[in-house]
Amino acid sequence: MANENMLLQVKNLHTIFHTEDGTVEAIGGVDFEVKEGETLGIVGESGCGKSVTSLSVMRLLPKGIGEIPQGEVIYKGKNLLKLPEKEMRKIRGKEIAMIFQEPMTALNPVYTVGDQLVEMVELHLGMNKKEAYDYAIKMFEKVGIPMPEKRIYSYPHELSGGLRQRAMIAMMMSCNPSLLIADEPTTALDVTIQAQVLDLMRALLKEYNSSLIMITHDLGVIAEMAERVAVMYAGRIVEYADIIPLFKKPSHPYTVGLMRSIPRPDVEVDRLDSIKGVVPDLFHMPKGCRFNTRCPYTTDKCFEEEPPLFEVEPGHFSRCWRYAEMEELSKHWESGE
Amino acid sequence: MSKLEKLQSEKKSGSKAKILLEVKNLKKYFPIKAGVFKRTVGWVRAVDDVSFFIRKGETLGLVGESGCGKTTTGRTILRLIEPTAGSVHYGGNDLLAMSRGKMNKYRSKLQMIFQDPYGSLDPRMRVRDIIAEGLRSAHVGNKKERYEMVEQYMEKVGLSKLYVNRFAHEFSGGQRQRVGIARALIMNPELIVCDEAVSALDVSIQAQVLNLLDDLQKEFNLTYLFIAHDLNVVKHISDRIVVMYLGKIVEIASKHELFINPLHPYTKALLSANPIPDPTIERKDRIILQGDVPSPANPPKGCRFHPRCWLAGPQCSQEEPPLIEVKPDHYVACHFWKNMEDQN
Repeated sequence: MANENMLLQVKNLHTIFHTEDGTVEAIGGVDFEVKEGETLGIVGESGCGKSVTSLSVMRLLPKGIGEIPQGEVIYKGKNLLKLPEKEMRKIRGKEIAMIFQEPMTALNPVYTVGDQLVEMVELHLGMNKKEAYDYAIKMFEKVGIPMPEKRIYSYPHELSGGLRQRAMIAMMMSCNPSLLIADEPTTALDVTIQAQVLDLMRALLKEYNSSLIMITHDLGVIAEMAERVAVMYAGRIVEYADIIPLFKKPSHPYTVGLMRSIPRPDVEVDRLDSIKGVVPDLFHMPKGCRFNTRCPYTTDKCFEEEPPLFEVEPGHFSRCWRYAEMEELSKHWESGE
Repeated sequence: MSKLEKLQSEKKSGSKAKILLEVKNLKKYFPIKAGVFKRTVGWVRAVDDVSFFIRKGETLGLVGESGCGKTTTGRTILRLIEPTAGSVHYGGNDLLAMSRGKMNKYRSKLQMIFQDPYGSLDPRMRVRDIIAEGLRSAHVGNKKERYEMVEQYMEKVGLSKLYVNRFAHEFSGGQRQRVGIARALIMNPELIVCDEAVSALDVSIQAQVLNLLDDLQKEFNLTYLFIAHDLNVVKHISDRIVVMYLGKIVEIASKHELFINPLHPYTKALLSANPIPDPTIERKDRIILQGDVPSPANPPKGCRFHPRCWLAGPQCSQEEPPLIEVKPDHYVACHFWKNMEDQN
C-alpha cells in the first residue's frame, strides 16, 4: 500500500488506560488510512474509542494514564509514535491540527482569540507581531467572521458558539496543516449554524487541499462530509468502507442497527428500530465478538471467537462472521426491547 | 375507594374536550441586572407573546434553536418559572392565575421529563424514593402501596424491579431517562412536557426511549409537549409542530404540512440545514442563513427574522407580522407567506 499520496496510516493501534480499578484497553487494533485531500469519517457512540483514536494519533493522551503499547502512526513516512516530544510539537498545529467539540473549553479564556492565533503563527511560521496580526485579520475574514479587525481583540466568551467555532477553524487553518482532525466540531451548534460551519470547512479543505478526519456520532453529517468511513464499536473498527457502499450495503450488524435506529427526515416509519441493550463497559467485554450482547444475528461462533476484518468487496471491510449474508439478514431486524 | 385507585380511575373520566391546554399571549421577560445595586437595566424577552393549544392525545413538537425560548415556554406552562403575563387554560381554569397551593393540585396531571438524565435525579436518593416522591407529596397511599406502585411502573418503563434500591449513578443514561419517565408517569398525568428528553442519549438508546414514549402514549392516552432541537426526532414523534424563533412562534402546522410546505422562511432554512443520512442525496436547495441569532435582550424591530431573511422587504423591518391561520391548522407569522408557497 505504498501509495504516494498517502498522508496518514494508522496500523494496529492499541491504547490502554491505567485506572484505579485496573488497566483497560480503550482501543485494540485500529487500522485506517487517510489520503491527501480525503475526508475520513469516524462514527460511533459514546465510549466506542473514536476520541481516544484521535488523541492517540496526536499523542495527547493524559500522561501516566494513557499508553500506546503497540501500533504505528505513520504520517508522511514518519512514525509519530517514535518521534521525540520536541519533534512532535512541531507537527501539532502546523502539520496536524485539531478542532474540538466545545470551542469554549479548547480556547484559552484569558487571552483574546487574536492573541491565540498570533501565538501559533509566530511559533510555527516565524512571523513577527505585526505580520502575525495582519495575518490573523486575514484568516478571520476568510472564515467569515464579521468585522475581523475588531473581533481579534475579543475574548472567547464574547463570541457566540458559531463565531467561536469559526475562530477555532481560523486558528487551525492558519498554519496550513496537511491534516485536520475534527472531533464532533458541530455537535454543540444549532443546525443552521452547523450548516454554515460545515460549508466553511468544505470550502477551506478544498482551497488548502487538506485532509480531514471527522469524528462524529451523526450519520447525517458523515453522509455530507466524508468520502470514507470507519464505524467504531467498543474499541474496534467494525466496518470500514467508502461512503456510498457503506450506506447502500452496510455489512456489519452494528452499522445496520445504527442506520435503522435514527429517525430520518426523508423516510417515515411508525416505529423506530433500536439496538437492544447497551454498550458493554471496558472492564466486562464479552468473549468473542464485542457486539454479541446486542446483535440479533448471533451464532455460536460469535460467542467464542472474535472475527477479523473481512473484505466484503474491494475496499469494504466488516468485522462480522456473517458478513456475506448481511444483505439478506439485514432485511429483518429484531429490536428486542 | 382508596386515593390510589381514585387517582388511577380519574383519567378515564377526564374531559372529552378536544383542546387539552390552551396557551394565550404567554410572556416571560427576565431582568438584566447590573451595577452594585443590581438595578434592572433591561429585559431578556425569552418568550414574547406566544399563543398555541395542545389537543388531547396528541404530541405537539416544539422546535427551535438554542435561545429561542422553547424550554422557557415549557417551564412557564407548568409554572416552574413564573410567567410575566399571559394565561394557560387547562380544564377550564387558568393555571397562571391560581395560587401556588391550588396549582399544586394540578401538578400531578402535568408532569415533566427533563433533558439531563444526570442532573435531574437526586444522587443521594434510591430509585424507588425518586419515583415515589411525587406520590408522597400528593399524599397518595401509604409507603407500602407507593412502593408497590413504583415496582409496577418500573416494569412499565422497562426497568427491572430488582433495581429499586439502586442509586442513580448505578444506571446508564438510557436507564436514568426511564427512571425520569417512571417518575412522571406514576402520577397518572394527562400532559407530559418532554424537554429535550432524548437529546443526551446515543442514537441506538434514543430509539429505545422514543419507542417507549410512543407505547406509553397509547397505553395511558397521554398528551405530550415534546420540546427538542433535533428536527428528525420531532418529526418522528409529533403530530403537529410549533417552530419558534427568538421568543416568537413563527409557524404551526401538522408535521407533514410543515415538512412539505413550510410557509415561513425560517422554517424552510431550518429544514434545509438538516443533514440527511444518505450520501446519494445532494442538497441543492440548501439555504445557508447568514449571521447568528440576535440577542433576545435586543431583538430586531418588526419581524425578528428580517435581518437574516432573503425575502425581507421594507415592511418587515417596521411591522411585526401576526401569527395567522392561512389554511386549516396551518399558522404562520410572515408578511410574504404567499411568496413562500409559490416557491414550494
